[in-house]
Amino acid sequence: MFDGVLVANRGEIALRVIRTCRELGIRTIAVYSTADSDSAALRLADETVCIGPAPAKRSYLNAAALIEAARKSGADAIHPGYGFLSEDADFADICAEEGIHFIGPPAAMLARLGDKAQAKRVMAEVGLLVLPGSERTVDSAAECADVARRLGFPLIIKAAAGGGGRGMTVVRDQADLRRAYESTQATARAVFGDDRVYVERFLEAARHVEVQVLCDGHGNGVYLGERDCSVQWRHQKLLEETPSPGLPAQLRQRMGEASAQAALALGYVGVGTFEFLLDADGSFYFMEINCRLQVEHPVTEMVTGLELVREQLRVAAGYPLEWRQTDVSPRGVAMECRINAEDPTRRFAPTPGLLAEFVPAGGPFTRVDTHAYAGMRVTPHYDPLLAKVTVWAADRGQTLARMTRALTEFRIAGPGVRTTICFLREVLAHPLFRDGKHTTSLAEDMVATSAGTGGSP
Amino acid sequence: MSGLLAEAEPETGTGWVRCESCTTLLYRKRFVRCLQVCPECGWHRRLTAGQRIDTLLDPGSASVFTLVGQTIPDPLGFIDQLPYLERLSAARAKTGLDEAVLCAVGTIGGHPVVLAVMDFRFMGGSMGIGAGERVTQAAERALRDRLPLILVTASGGIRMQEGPLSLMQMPKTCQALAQLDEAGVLTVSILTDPTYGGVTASFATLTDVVLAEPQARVGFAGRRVIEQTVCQQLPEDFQTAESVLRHGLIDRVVPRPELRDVLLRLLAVQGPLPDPYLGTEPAENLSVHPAPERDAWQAVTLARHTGRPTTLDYISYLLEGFQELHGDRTCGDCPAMVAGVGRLNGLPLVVVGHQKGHTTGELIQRNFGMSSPQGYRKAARLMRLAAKWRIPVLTLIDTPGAAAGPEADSSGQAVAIAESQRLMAGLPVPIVAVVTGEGGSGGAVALGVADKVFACANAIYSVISPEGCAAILWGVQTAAPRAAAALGLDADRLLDLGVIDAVIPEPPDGTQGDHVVAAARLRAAIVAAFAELLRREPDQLVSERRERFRRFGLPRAAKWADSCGFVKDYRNGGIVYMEETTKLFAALNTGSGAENDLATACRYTAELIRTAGGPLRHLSIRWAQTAIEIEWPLVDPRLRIPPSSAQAGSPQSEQASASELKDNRGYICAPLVGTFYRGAHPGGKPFVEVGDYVEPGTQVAIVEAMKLMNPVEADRSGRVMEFVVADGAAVEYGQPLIAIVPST
Ligand SMILES: [Zn+2]
Repeated sequence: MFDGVLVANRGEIALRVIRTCRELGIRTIAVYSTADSDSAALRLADETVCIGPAPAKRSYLNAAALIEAARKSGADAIHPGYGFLSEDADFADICAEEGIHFIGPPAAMLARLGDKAQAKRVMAEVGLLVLPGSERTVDSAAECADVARRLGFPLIIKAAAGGGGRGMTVVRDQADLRRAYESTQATARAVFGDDRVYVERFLEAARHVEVQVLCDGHGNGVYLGERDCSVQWRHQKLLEETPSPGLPAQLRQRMGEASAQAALALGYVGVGTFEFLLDADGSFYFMEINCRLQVEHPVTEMVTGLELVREQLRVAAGYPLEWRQTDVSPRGVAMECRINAEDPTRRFAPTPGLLAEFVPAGGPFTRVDTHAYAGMRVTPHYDPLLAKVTVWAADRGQTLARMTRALTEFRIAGPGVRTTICFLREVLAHPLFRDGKHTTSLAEDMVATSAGTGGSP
Repeated sequence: MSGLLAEAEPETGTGWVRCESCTTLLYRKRFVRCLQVCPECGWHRRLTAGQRIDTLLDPGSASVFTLVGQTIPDPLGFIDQLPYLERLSAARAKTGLDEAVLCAVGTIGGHPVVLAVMDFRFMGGSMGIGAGERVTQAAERALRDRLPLILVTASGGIRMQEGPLSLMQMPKTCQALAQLDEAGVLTVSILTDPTYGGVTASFATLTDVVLAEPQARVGFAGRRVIEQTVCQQLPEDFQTAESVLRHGLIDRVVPRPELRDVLLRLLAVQGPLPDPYLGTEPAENLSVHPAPERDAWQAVTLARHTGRPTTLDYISYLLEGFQELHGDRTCGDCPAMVAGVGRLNGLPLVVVGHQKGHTTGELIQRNFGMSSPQGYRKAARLMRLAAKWRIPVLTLIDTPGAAAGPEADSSGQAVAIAESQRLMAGLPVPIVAVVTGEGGSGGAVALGVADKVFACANAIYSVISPEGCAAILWGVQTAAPRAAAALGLDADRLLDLGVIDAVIPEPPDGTQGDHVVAAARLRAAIVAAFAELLRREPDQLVSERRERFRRFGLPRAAKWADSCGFVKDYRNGGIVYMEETTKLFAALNTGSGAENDLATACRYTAELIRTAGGPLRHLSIRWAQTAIEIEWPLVDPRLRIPPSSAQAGSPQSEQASASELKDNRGYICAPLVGTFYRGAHPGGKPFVEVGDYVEPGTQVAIVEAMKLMNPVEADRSGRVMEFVVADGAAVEYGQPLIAIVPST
């Protein structure tokens, strides 16, 4: 096992990784920017190194500073957490050159899967379905019409530079195609300064389901169930649960097997998440793969009993998996809510500020991952995640009740600080969600009908 | 990357590069993948000629070609501190090149091109016989094979050691480019850091399109030479690519990763016109009698509506691969005029048009669509390029009038407008003009000399604004609606008068109601017109166009004579602008019935700017609920705050001040994570000792990171009191290194 692990991250995930390392008896090194000099992770780590000023580019994304910090502290492995450099092929490459273990897939794998279009081609080669679409950007109305003939309707025109729901138009009829193409292009040009668009088949009422896989370097791989992340605001996940409500057991198994087989065919090593769009007819289309630990990994841990960071460390250190697929038997229902310092009434605008009060929830089967404490300042420099609360129960009804109870216990307050708690409670109470019949448009619809306009947290 | 790029990669023994601009340590592989542009701050490292060819041409397509024939090696037998021939062979050994120019043929996105690239490492990229000959032979190759020529420059100027024969390379290359103009072959230059002297003053700036890399220094005389001549310090950004762009001397500043894209867009408007032309667009929707349910004054109001699609809106709906180009190549670029190239249903064309805006901010930035002479000269330059490339021209007219301030007037507004009309009258390619909104007098007609002239149903085309006319001829501004009716300015009157050929119908509420439909109808009209015009020979086009304008005002229809009655009453004999701003404010207070407050306020603002007596500093206008305030910045560039340099240094000083102790000590802190050394290398002589005085900028130590030596500089003045950290110790960011007692 490793001698010293440097955690190249901040916030709750840095704490999460440090805790597992301590349980495994591994020395930990926490790094921080000048904006995080009071962070909770620093108190738990064996050693700390300041790596730069507040802007992430000059600290948490600064590969040279991280490597020098590892060298200074004698770390022989780096855990990148999620976000920041966790899927950066160059960083993995640099670590390899410096003789430091990068806890994640090798650089070549990250490079191969990092480009979305390329990842889709690779996955199609190893047998996964991908949403049919234009392979590259569509540069004229005539070309768009060609693609549409091939794909059929409905289809979606997306700005290449877009994201977060902007610069997308759904077209249901040939007659609207040209107009939609031109207006999407014009919008893209105006909003992103880049008018390239591509075209994809559009799935009505699709759900976002992702499958967790874990592979060692010895040709063993397992899938650890799925997570349903359909509650999203502009592609930002707000709430995740497993199992996916209403997903037939057979389909669950097919998705899991397909993912594990694809991962093994790729020669994947480490934890990875296959994201799928699930059509109403049961077809599942590969969207992208996340080559890192996910924010929402605790729900998988709760139902499988597997400790994913421990598994990550073991696999990275070269140990074979201790589990076979038959040993994995998820039990019960787990759900995670992300409590962000954001104002749902103002389109989830971040609300940085001083936390005058911070009391997390507790209780049976209730896990809170957080780095927050009363007196902490939420900085505008990084993502606004304050805490993740994950609960487990035998069935979905009990899980919903437990989550509702847990959210009620939270007391978070500070001048100007708003949180997503009220919105999450409204989601939990929403009839579609309670029935497990919601889709990725739930949060948008709630905001649009101003159902999600809760007051202060 | 092919071998050429790898070849010249310096061996530094580390996989890291230190950005010379923002000091970030960059992973070399990523830096190379980013074409040697710093991903943090955009610093462009100079490329060798081989690297440049690799970044521009399709992989594997480059084929380098060498000089045909001989040149005189050392015509003067020149010897300074070294014999010239020795200098030459040293440069050859250092660069692996024969001369400061490397030529190649290859493809960009499949389009074959000829490329000539300068290498600054070869005697500062200086142009002597060898360089001039290579550029000329590249041009001749382009001429022979009818291939676009791309020139990448990096040069300190003319090579002294070859004397007058070096100087003669300037006209040699200029005339080579002139021959390409005559043959209609596209030429593009890319100015890279630095491009100076005889290269800037010859082939580098004679091309059809001149691009430059960000921050590249481009000029004729060197900065220091000019400073010494005028005995004053020049502004920070003097002679940067961005500054010469503002002065209208180049078309665009293009970051290195986007160069291929821009070249591709330019290459896509070359070559034979598509046949059959323009596909199968139906020529529907054109009406000869629009008869909208509104009077002339309502048309005036609608034509000025700030929600109407602007020229750039229409361009984004209509054109594929649009590439805007800038500058009049003389002294400026006008934001009120948009010009560029693109494709309409595959048909390459040049588009020029007035640009307004939808918001007050946009309108101000675009000067309300009132072009300066620089704008008209830019438009003319692009139209000449259309003639050279033999592609059609589309003009979109939407202006309250040409800019009419003292500055515009004295820099030749009248001449620019006159020359534009003469140029268009004789341009040997099809021209279609569309009045999309306001066709304000001379500023509009400067783009209106076309084979086909259309107007949108609510557009107007007028000799004067109705308000101006009312004030002069009726004596009251409130007579504007009557003046509008009398002036014959709306689409149906224009059609009757024969000034326009057809009316493009608008959506029910006007084009502002539905941009997509408006654009579709415009497209249909233009496509049908070009499909017809492209069948004609250039001579026929020109003679018919001239005949069309020749006939205006000759007896043709009774209606025209009737409306002339109005003109007879025009006693003042010309357009008289209001002399004092007070008059305009008086007019503002009496005006009424405006449906669109913003449009009206903008209108008056525009009028005020047009007629103001001198440069304006501040202008404030209120119309009903709408207020517009404009403040012009001081133009003296020396007063501007230098960009972002303050920001770059701040974390260090912040950190330092935070760690200051009560005993008045200050600390110089580590600027990055790494290993601290007191000397230039481990064990080397220390930069400073205890007791030394330091000043801001004095190098006091280094921090080694990723095997690169990063200087640590004092950020304050004072005496070195103590080294807090041992030589060779690992340090973290912001860690105090050296204690300083401030000098008093
Ligand atoms: Zn930089």
